[in-house]
Amino acid sequence: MTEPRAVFVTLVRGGWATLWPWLILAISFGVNLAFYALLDDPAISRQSGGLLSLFATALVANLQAWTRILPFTLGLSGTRRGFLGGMAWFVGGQSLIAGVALTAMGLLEERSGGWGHGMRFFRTATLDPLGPLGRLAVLAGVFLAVCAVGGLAGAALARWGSVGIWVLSIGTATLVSAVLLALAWRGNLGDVVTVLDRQGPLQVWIGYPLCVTLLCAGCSWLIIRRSPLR
Amino acid sequence: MDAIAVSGVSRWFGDVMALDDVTVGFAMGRITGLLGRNGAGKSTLIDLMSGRAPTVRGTVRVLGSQPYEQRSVRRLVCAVSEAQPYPPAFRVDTVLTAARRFYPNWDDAVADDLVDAFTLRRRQKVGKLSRGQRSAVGVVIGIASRAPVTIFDEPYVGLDAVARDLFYERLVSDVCVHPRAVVMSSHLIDEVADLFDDVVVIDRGRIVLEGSAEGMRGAFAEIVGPTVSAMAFVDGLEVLRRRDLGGVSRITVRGADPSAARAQGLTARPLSLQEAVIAMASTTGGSHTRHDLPSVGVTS
Repeated sequence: MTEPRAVFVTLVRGGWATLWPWLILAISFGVNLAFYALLDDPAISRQSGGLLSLFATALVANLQAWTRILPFTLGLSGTRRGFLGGMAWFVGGQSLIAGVALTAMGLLEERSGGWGHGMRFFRTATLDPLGPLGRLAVLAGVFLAVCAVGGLAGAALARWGSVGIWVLSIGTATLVSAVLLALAWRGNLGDVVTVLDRQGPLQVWIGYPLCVTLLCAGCSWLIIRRSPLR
Repeated sequence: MDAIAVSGVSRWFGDVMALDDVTVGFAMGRITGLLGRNGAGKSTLIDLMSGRAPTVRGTVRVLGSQPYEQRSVRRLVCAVSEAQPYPPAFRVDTVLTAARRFYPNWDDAVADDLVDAFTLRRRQKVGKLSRGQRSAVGVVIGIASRAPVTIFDEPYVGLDAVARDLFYERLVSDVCVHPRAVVMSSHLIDEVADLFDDVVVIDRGRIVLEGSAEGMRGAFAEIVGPTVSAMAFVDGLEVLRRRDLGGVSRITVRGADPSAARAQGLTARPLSLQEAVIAMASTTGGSHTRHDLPSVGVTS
């Protein structure tokens, strides 16, 4: 068995990383459905934000996969490169499954009239203009990017402990804030929004998540490449 | 050729020099004890030899190749440490199944036999295991991996005396049938001394003693007697430690013949391996001298 495959199987057998996000999503869905079923005010928006629970939990689950499975496989004479390869298959598979499952649920939601209560749990205004394949690609791409962010946080945590997470979070927030402030100060913030509008949802929701994924994967590799993780 | 060849390796952690120009070899088919005090550099050396950490200065060759990030080498090296990280949600059999995927020479029958011998419950989560049971899981992996290079870094923490004895017995019998290079760091020197074919003593990042365990047994002696007589006897020999009390000296010396000392009216007894290591560690505080004993299959 190749090492990436061994890591992949170990990650899948780990269980929690694949199952917890979906369990949380199911709970969120149930709560939202019950809420909208009890609500009889048609003026209230039926757009739920419950789908975010899947992405938030996937981020944490992937962070845990890095902090627990990486040292474990290194302890079993694995390599960092092999772990990254196995993790790429694992995250890629999760993203594809997420894309397919969420698209299917979105179509089902559409056909069922929002589960009989006009609820929009798996659909968003951004995804509405896209066909099933477009939705699948966007959802899978965003899921991939979220997993990659979780992986970067996990790499920082595995190497530097909680200090790493704090530095990474504060550093990223500072950098993003500084860029936004600089754009606003120069009066270019509107131009950025215009450019994003012109690019269309597929470019924005697939292209940028892929950039984030590659950036996070590269940074994660740099963090663990020569660290004496045990 | 040594299974593991370390040459001129130095390693710092900030201002602390963990390894200082270490050159040592570990032979195939032999069990070598890597001994030293806490913080002597044993675990750092093991990290480099097992390919867990990169070598910054010097070279480490395992089975002829550098091990860091080299899967072709790493798969032939099994390093079990007392701080082995296991995902707490994994069950014992999940851990062992994962290990089987990483070691090409893995032997299921040996693993099953050891799991039963250590009375481990396969369905129990690792996070619920006691310290000793977690160590037993590491021992199972180390022996069942049948890795040509197997390294144990204090593998017995928490194991009771019966389980430790079981570990030693199974390790020796397995190595006899399937020869490999075994390196074991340990603080329980007297308990494991009989396992070792060779011994390497490290202190403050330097190799202070290396050689065959057989050559080391009887190489050190403690001479006790009136200071004048004792000093006259050890004149010209290598004195490791001397303690005086009321005109009587207790001198730890290397290369003395105890029977010759007794013939001169002195009390003399050969030192155990543990006492010899303590004497070596006590004497290398400032000088970092290197002592080589006649070696059997060990490169100095």
